Amino acid sequence: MEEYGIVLKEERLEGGRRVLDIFWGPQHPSSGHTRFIVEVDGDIVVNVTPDPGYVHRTMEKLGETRHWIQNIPLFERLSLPDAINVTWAYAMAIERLAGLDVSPRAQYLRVIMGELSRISTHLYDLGLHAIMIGSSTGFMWAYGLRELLVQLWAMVSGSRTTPTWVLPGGVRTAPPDAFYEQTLGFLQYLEKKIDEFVRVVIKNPVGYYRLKDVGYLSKEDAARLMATGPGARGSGIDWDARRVYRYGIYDEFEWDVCVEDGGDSLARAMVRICEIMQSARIIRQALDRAPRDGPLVGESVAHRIPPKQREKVNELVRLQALFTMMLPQGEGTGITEGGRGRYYFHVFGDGSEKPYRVRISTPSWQNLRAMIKAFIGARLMDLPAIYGSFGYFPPEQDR
Amino acid sequence: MDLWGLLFSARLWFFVLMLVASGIVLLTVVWFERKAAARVQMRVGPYHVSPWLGGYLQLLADAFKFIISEPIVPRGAHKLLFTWGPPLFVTLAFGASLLLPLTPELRLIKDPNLLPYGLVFSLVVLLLVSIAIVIIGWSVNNKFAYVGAAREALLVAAYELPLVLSVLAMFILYGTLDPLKIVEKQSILVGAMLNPFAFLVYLVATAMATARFPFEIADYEGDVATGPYSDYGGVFLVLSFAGGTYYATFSYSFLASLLFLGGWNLPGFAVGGWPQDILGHLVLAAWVMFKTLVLMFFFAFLRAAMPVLRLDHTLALGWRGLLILGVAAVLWSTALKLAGL
Repeated sequence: MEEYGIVLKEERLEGGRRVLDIFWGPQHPSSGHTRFIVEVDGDIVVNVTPDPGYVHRTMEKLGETRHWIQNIPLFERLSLPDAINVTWAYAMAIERLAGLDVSPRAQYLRVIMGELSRISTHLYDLGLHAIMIGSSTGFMWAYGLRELLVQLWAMVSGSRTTPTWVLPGGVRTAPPDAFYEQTLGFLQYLEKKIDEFVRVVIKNPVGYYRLKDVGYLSKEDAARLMATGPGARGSGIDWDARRVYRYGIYDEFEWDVCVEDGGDSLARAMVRICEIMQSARIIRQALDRAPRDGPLVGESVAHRIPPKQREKVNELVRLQALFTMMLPQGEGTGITEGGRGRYYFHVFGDGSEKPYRVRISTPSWQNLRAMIKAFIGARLMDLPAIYGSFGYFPPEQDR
Repeated sequence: MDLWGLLFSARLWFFVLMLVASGIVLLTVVWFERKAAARVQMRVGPYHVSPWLGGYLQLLADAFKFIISEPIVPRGAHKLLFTWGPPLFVTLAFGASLLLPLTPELRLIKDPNLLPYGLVFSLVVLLLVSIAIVIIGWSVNNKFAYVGAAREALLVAAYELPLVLSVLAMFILYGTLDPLKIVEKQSILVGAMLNPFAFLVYLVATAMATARFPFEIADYEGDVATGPYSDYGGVFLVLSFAGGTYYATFSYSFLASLLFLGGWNLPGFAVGGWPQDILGHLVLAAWVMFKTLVLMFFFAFLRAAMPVLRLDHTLALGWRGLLILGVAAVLWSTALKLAGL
């Protein structure tokens, strides 16, 4: 007689633990593209072993085999909702390595698009968080709002989800005039809908009890395990790369870093909501002050275009100036604050056009240990709520 | 055999009407669920199958697609329980509504003295549906289905007692178990207004029993990957996930429309006997089905508004809040009865 039910035997592990191990694997509605081996004792999670690597695309190695400008669309795929902030970090690394400067107009445009990218990531994460706690309404609203945002991106860069827009030295294209009014209209609609989102999903009694005191990460644990992004700011750690490293022109705008003290999923979700509002505030200030014309790249890049054609620098910058540039021997680092946390790029050049080494540290990989610490002790049904609250993104984790 | 007598038998008409009406009610409710949720969520909903009807026939297209799919039985699943689980589920869920009367004459139980037993048995059969869900979860031989079935068993312990208490409260209030007399007694005020505690408890317990949001816990997609139904596909899925849970909601709503919403009471409409006044009986049947439909609309709309509550919060709700409210409902009914209602 065939043995039926062998998969249901509880594991008796060393130490006398008696748990059921569940493969929260890539084939699961709310695990993303990564696997966690969850050991459950009744309903309480006792241990979680991560099994990452399902989306490993060898990006760091690929970065060594291509021209440094071809790496921009490559590294954008680390986290497509956050495309601008990721490529900004890489562009910053190349700028520090090659000594390029950025034009003022490009600084303002980078800030506008970078904050839009942050809003895009937060909407993406909030939508996934909502569907993971069961609210399909929140999911559709967040992605509906994001639909409007990607149309703005298409207006600026020609592509909805993969703008490939930040270049070392500046940006690739300039937004048309309609962009400025439409962004203001979008921000108005966004703030109204985010209020509704908070009321329907987060302040909803069912959603509130799903998120309150779930996945508690204390401030000491968050600091010790080096959490980043809303995972850290939701536990009371006041760290934001835009404030600490003062890159770009973030110092010129008036904005606050959003910090909550709860340490649970509710705090992390509220950090995201607050950051959306702060990003809207920054974008409004930047839209007022952004110069409507001017060179899109800095002097050192524009210098590479022949003087007779330098008036048309905004059209020619795409390939001519940068494709013939070699990376000097040396290293450069770029750090930006993406929606999910801090992106770190470390580029080593060796005199040729291919980088010698690109080292990437992404927020999801950084948050893995902190998230596992938050998982342990929670109930099985809390795992989606915690996973969504950290804004975990496996393609970024595995690079 | 008397052919005309057979053709006009109230039993036959009841059975056919229930099949047809429940099918139409299910179609409408699923359409409403998808369309209303879509409109709330800034999208269109079912559109392409019958655009001139607003996508109403989408469920037929989906059911057809499921039925013609290859039914796969996983290796290692308990074959008997796997294949017979869904039909058992939908039979129990629909069979509960066959024990109730649709109008004073249209009912499956011929002897009016046996009608009280029909009412009680209908509730019992509905509570047995949860066993069918546990059977389904067990037979799949899959850890997620096992966890889902365990959750369903825990939930049964939470909602069963408040549900029985609310129905008991209504029986105390009416003083009788005969559904015909119960509907008669609701001619001035419907049961929901006479005992709102019982109605509230019944609504929440039904939502728990039939996996309506915010209590879609046993077959929660985010966690146990639709739990007991996770390895079902094809006709099994139509029978269990789409058919069984909605038929259970239908039966619960039908019972509620008799106990709480006044049944076939239509002011100013007197109905004759059967088969003299077929049209009158059909009108009353449509009225009862309409009440059932409205109640099911309420359950369906919850999907658009609510996330899903966690298991231990739901169990706490069932054992604390609902139980207290159920006891309050019984006390309220007793007080009303003693006051001479």
